[in-house]
Amino acid sequence: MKILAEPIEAAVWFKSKEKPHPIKFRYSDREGLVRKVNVDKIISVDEIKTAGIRAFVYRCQSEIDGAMKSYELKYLVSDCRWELYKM
Amino acid sequence: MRTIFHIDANSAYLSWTAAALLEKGYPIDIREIPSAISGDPLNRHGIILAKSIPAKKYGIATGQSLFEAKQKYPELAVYPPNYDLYMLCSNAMYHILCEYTPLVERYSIDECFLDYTASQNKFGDPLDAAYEIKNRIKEELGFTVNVGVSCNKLLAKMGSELKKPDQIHTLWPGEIEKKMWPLPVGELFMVGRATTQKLQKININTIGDLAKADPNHMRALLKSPGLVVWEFANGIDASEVTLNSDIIQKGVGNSTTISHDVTDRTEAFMILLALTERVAMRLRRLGYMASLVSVSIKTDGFIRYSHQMKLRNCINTTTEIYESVCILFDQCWKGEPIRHLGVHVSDFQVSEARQFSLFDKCDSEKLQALDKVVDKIRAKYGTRSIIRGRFANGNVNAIQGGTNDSDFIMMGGYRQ
Repeated sequence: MKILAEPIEAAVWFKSKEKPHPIKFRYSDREGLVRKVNVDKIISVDEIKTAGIRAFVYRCQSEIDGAMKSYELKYLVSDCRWELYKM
Repeated sequence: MRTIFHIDANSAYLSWTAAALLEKGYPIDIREIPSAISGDPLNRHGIILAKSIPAKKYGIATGQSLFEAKQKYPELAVYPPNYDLYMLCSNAMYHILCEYTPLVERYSIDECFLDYTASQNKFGDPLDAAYEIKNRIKEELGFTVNVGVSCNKLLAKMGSELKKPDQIHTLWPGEIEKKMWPLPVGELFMVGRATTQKLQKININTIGDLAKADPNHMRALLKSPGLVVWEFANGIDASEVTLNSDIIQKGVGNSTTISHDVTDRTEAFMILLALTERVAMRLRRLGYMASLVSVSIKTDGFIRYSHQMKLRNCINTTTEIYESVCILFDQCWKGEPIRHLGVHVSDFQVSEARQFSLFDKCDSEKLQALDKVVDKIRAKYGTRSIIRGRFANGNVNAIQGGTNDSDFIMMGGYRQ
């Protein structure tokens, strides 16, 4: 997996007592093609504070183009923004 | 015996920028190439604020002008500073340290002292804890620190400066002779360029030479600081780790380097007013009144002079401080083009009672009430939510001095 840090549009379920739960997101790939991905499975969630910037990293797995792919989404707390962190 | 840690982020601005860039997917670690953080040369802030260790090998040093540095290594990679990021990094580091003891002193943006004495029962051996702190900062925050471990602040600080980066050094009193005395005397805390020259003249070249010198001789040569540096050279320092909230501030000042040389008196007054706004705001936030005002000027020829006056009574309103500032400026300015202006107030008194004077030009109670309201508006809606009408149609920034609207911690300063 490589760091992409690509800003994405995401549909997220904010739960009452748990961490936000991403459901699906949209990103443009290297060819500029807009892809829609459903988050099939969240494997783990970790809080990180690299360079003092607080964020949550979600390790996820989805079927993209018929293949099972794992990737990481990042929620930047102070920006209230989602990124496709690694893929 | 106390146990004191000194934690120092390695080339702070640069490694913080590096950590943030890597996190954003930047392909290279700028700590590993000749690189530097520098202000914008266009508005005359182009000096090297931090450099990487590979850049140091080409003779690039903090405080050099960007032009000088580029001459030494034309391919130097230069990045702008990001003070918001640096605050985040500094705060994150401070919060990790606070987990080990409540006694943490933020000495500057990238340095902290920590009194570990009472924490030994809970967290165990100081060296183990120092390694844990160092490794946690590296893993969790993505930058490296040096930790100095000793029995007082001075030795801990000298210890953390021994070899960089990502190192732990102890400098217990028994190790002074081996680890600190061979170093050049200029490396000692509080020994600057001028003192080094004076000491070298009498053949004191290393810290060891200074330690073995006669303290009375040092006092005669350097006055009272002579005794202090002699004590430092011998590893003597009784100062305590003090929480920043307990440090008593003795003066407040702000200054600015202007993007062009100012030759017009009216424009200089505008800048002085903008600086006074900041200084007076900070003074009132501390709850003090000042009775000494000073103005400093740096000319285009880099000649610096200042002028100060003691007031009959104590003041804290922007208008009154500005009046004194104008008088001082007119008294000392010789008409040269101005590069840098500064305003400073000191001689504080707690602002509860105030001596009225028959000769007060304006109704100071009204002014105080006005400033109180202005301060409240600025606290609620932002520093620039209300500015003086004088600045409305000009291009002079209405409130000047300080980085990031004064939220930034520099040496000695700290947001309360």
